[in-house]
Amino acid sequence: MAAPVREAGPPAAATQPGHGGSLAWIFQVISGILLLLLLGVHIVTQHFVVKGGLRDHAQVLSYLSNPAVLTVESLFVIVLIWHAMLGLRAVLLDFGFGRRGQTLITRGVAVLGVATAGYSFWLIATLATAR
Amino acid sequence: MSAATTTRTGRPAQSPLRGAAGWARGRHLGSVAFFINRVTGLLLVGYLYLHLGVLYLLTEGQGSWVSVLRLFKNHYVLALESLLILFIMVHGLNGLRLALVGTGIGVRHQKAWFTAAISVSAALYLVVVLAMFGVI
Repeated sequence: MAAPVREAGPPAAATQPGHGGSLAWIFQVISGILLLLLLGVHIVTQHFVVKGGLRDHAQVLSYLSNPAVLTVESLFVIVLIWHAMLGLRAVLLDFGFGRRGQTLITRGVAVLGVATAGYSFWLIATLATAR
Repeated sequence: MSAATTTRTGRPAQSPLRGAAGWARGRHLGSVAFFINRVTGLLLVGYLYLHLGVLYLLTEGQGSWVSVLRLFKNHYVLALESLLILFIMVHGLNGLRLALVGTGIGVRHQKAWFTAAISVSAALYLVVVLAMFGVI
């Protein structure tokens, strides 16, 4: 009997019990699909519909003062960082570290993600309230 | 049974894609697609931090942002920005394909999915480049 075939599923190194690999892969897929939508909105609204491709300083502040925009951009930041950190973790886990190494990678990536999200929200809040 | 599980590229699932060398080891479509997604993903994570760093200049006032806007009108920078669009599209569409195939959807048509993902990315990239450089 031929061995079952799978492709591009969760790497086996990431699926060892206790490391949440399968769940991480599912979250990666869900956040990826959400990103296709949110990144599309971000690029179109921030760049494609703006003359010259970039908003000037006043336009950025005005744009971010809109609560609907603020909500969408905040959601975008959360999903983007979530997806990026899961991806980074998956890449690092591919290097075949042991159980302790995997735990350290997961914690390190989580700290990096929280720090990045903290900085991003500080940036958004600063700009949204700057007018 | 589980010990005999293999990836589509023939690698044993129990010794998976170890390290960057492992990503590029295979010549099969699955390996190539996986390698492309890993590399574009890492480049996009790098860009995320560069982007967040540039956006900090918005907090420093209009003067700093004007210098950023001036920089982004440079043709070399525009060319790099267009590559970013290409990486996003390839990573997004190829990632969608990997997710579908990984969940067992359209496994038999994965070559066609891959060709479609790359073709659509290339076509959109061309349109974006033409728009960025003011041709259309």
